[in-house]
Amino acid sequence: MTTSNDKALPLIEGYYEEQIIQCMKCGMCQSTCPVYYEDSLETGCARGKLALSEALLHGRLEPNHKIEMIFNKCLLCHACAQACPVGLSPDKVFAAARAEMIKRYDMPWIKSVIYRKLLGQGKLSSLTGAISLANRLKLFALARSLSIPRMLGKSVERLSFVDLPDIPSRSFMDRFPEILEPKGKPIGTVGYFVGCAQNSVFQDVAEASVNVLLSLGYRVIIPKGQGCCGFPHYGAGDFETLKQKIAQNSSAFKKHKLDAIIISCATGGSGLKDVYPEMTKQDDMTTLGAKVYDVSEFLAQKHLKDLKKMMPKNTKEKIKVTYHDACHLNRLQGVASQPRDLLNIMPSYEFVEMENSTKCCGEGGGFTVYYQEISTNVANRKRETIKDTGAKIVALGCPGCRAQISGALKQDGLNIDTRHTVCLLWDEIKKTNGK
Amino acid sequence: MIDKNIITELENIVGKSNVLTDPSDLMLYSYDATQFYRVPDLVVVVHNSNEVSKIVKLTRKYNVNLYPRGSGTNLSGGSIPADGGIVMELNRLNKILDIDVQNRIAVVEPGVVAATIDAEVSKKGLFYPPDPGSIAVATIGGCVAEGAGGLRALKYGTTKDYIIGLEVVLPNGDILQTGSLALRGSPGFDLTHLFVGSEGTLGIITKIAVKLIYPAKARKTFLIMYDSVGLAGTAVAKIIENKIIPSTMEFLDKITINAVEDFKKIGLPRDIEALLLIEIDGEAEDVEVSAKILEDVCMKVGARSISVAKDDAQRLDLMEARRSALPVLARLKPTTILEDATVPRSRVPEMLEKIHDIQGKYDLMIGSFGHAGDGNLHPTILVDRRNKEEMKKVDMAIKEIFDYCIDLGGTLTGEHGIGIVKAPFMEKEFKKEGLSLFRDIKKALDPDNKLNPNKVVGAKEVHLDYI
Repeated sequence: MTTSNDKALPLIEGYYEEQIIQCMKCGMCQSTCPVYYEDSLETGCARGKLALSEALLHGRLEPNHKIEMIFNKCLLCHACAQACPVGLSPDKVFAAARAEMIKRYDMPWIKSVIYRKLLGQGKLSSLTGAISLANRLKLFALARSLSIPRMLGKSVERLSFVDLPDIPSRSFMDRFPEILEPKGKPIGTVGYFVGCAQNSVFQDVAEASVNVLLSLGYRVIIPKGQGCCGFPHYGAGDFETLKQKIAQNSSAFKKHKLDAIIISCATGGSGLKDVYPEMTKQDDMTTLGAKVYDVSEFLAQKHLKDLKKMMPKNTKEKIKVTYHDACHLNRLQGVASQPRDLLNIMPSYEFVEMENSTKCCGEGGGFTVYYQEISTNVANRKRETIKDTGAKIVALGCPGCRAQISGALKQDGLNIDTRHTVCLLWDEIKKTNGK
Repeated sequence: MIDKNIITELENIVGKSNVLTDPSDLMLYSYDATQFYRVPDLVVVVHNSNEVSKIVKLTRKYNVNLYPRGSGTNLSGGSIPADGGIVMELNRLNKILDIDVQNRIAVVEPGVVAATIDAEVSKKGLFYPPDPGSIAVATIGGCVAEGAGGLRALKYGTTKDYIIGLEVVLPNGDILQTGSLALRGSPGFDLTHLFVGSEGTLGIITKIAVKLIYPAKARKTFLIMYDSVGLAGTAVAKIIENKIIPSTMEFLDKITINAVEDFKKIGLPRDIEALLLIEIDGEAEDVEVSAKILEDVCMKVGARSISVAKDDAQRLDLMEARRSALPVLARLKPTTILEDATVPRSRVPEMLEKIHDIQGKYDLMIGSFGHAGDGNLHPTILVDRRNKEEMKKVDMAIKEIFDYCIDLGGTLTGEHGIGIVKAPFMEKEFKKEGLSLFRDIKKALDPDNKLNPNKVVGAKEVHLDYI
C-alpha cells in the first residue's frame, strides 16, 4: 500500500466538482438504486458517495481503503442518474473517484492480472484458450468445492457462480477472417466490434451478429487490431489502460472506411458511445471513424422490414420469451424498444414483459467480487421476476447480464435459457434458409 | 469522542455490523436535504422497537444525544445530529404489518417508504392520499414526524389527517401505545397527535396505524395561464367559492415557468405571469359538472387560455409542468434552498409580491411554485453555497419571508417541519407563551434534552455549515 500526502484529486476537480456540488441531497437516488434497495445503507446510494467525494475534495476526509471500497459499492447501472432531479451522472463521478483511488493504492494482484495482463494487453485471443480449458475441466466449480476461493481470493468463487457455456478453444477472431463478403453486391460496409466476451466466451453472439449483417447484404469488417473496449478499466478506475484501449481501437477502426460500427455487447457499446466521448471530449465519428450502433439498434432501426421478410413462415408453436434490459443498453444507450421490435417479428416466439425489466441484474464487473452477497441478492430478484413470466427464454443484449442471470437461474435449478436477441434472430433466419 | 463502553453495549444489542464508527460512514449520516451537516459520533442501525427501547435507555444512562433518522430526506435539518451524539437509523423497520380492508386501516413500521404504502393498499382497492414530493424515498416514520404534505392536501389533507394510532418509544425507554384502531375516540388528550409533527423530539415512533379511503373513480386535469399573479389568486378563490374543491391546485410563477420552458420545451408562453395546474376528481358525472363550472370561472376571471387533458397521456403532459418545477429550478444554480412559507389562501398574491420585492432587494434568484389551494408556497432560492456573501443575503431574505408570512396570519412551514433551520423563528409565530408551552411539553417528556435536542423548540441555537 502506498499513501500519498498529495490531497489534490485532479480527476474529480473541475467538471466533476460541479456535479458534486449540485447534489441537493434530496435522496431521490435511493428510489432506483439496486444496491441501496438491498442494504438501505447510505454508502449504497449516489447521494452518500457524492457527499464522500465532496468531503475528500475539501479535505474533510483522507482517502483510505474503506473509502475506496465505498466507491466500489456501485454497479455503474446509471439508475441514480435517471432518478436525479438535477440531472447529475453520479456514476461518472464514482468512476473518476475510483481512478483517484487507484493512483494511491495499487490494484490487488488478482485484479491487476485480469485488467492489465489479460484484458489490457493487445491480443484478445490469449484469454480464450485458458478460460475454455478451465471451464471444460470444470475447474471453477472444482475450485469452489475445494474452498480454493478462500485461498485465492473471491474472483474464482465468482466465476463458479456465473454460468458459462462450452467455450471453443480458439477465439472468434482466430476463427473468422478480417473481411467477410456478402453473397451479392454489398449494400454497405460495417465494422464489427467484437469485445472480449464475444471473442472468447459468448462466440455465438459474434457469429450471429456477423451472419445477420451478411444476410442483409453488408460487407463486414472485423478489424484485426481491435482490443478490449476499455470499459472494465473505466469501471475499475484504471484510466491509463483505458486511454491505451481507446487509442488502439481508434487506429484499428479508422484503417477502414466504414458506414457504421456494430457492437453486440451492451457494456462495450456504452464504452464506445458514452465513455470514449467522456474521456476524449470527441464524438464516436471522430474517435472511431463511424457512428456506433448496438446490433439490435441498427437492425431494428434500419432493417426491420427486411428482417420481417426473412422470418420463417410455418412455425408450429410459440415459445415464451421475455427480455431483460441491460443497464448499459437501456440507460446508457437508450436502446429499449429496438430489441423488443426484433422479438416481436420473430414468429417462433411469444414476447412477454417481465416486471421491472430495467432493474439491474447485479453484475457490475468488480462489484460482484467485492460485494458478492448484494450481487447475488440482486440477481435472485431478477430471477424471480423472470420466473413469474413463465418464459422459457430470457433475451438480453449483454454478456455480463447473461453470465449473471444464467448463473442465478441455474442455482435455482431452472431450465430457462439466456440468449442474446441477435442469436434468436439468427436462429429464425436459419430456419427460413433451411427450408 | 464516544465512550468505548457504549460501543460495546450497543454491539451487544444490535450486533457489531450495525454499529458504525468509521469516519467515512459517519460522514454519510451527517446531512439531510437542507444540505447542512454535522458529523455524528456514531450511527446505530436498529431492527425493532425492543432494540430502540434498549438503546434509548442506554443513551440516557450515558447521557448521550440521540437522533432518530429515516431516509434523511427532510428539509428542516430535523435528522441532522446538530449537537453531536448518536444517529439511530430506523429504515430497517420496514414491514407493512397489516392491511385491514374491512376497517380500511393499515398498520406499518416507520421505515416503510411512503410510496410503498399507497402501492400496496391500492392492490386491495384502497387509497393512501398524502403524497409529499419525496414520497418515492421518504419513510412513513419521517412523514409522520415532520407532518409531511403533498399535492393532494387541499381536498384530502396531509399525513396528520391519516394517523389514528402510534407506538412510540419515549425518552425514558417506555413503549407507549396511542390512539386505537377504532376510527373515532375522545379519551383525554390526543396523544397520537402530540407525536405527529414532533420531529423526533418527544419520542421515537416504531409503529403507525393509518386510515385509508377509496380512490376517486374519475378525474380531470387542467392547465390555466394567467397574465398576473393577482388574477390567478382570484381564480383560486372563485373556484372554491363556487363549491369546487380540487384534489390538486398548484401554482407556478414566471421564473419557474421560464425555467420549465428552458429545459423541457413543452410550449408554455414565456410572457405569462402565473400558471395553475388543477385536478378535480370524484364520481364521473360530478367531475363533468365541476369541470364545466371550473372552466367558466377561470375564463370569467380572465384566463389567457385553458388546456384540458383528454386522456391519461395528456394528463401526464400537463402534470409535467408542475412535476419538473423543482428539478428545472435546481439546474439553474449549484445550490437550491427550498422554503415552504404558508399563508391563508386569500393572501397568496400578497405573499408572492413580497417575495418578488425581496428577490429584487437582495439581488437573488427566487422561483416560486406551490400548493396555491392551501396557501403553501415554495419560494426556491437559487444560489451557490460556495459564495459566502450570497449565503448571508439568503439568511436575510429567508428571515424577511418568514416575518411577512407570519404577519399575514400564516405559518413558518406548510409541510417541511421546523427542525433546526426554523427553530429560531418559533417565537415569532407562537409568542413567548406558546414557545414556553412547547418547551414545557418537551421538558415533561425529555427532561434531560437528549432526544433530538434543540430541534423545534430551539433550547440552544446551533450553527451548522453547508456540506
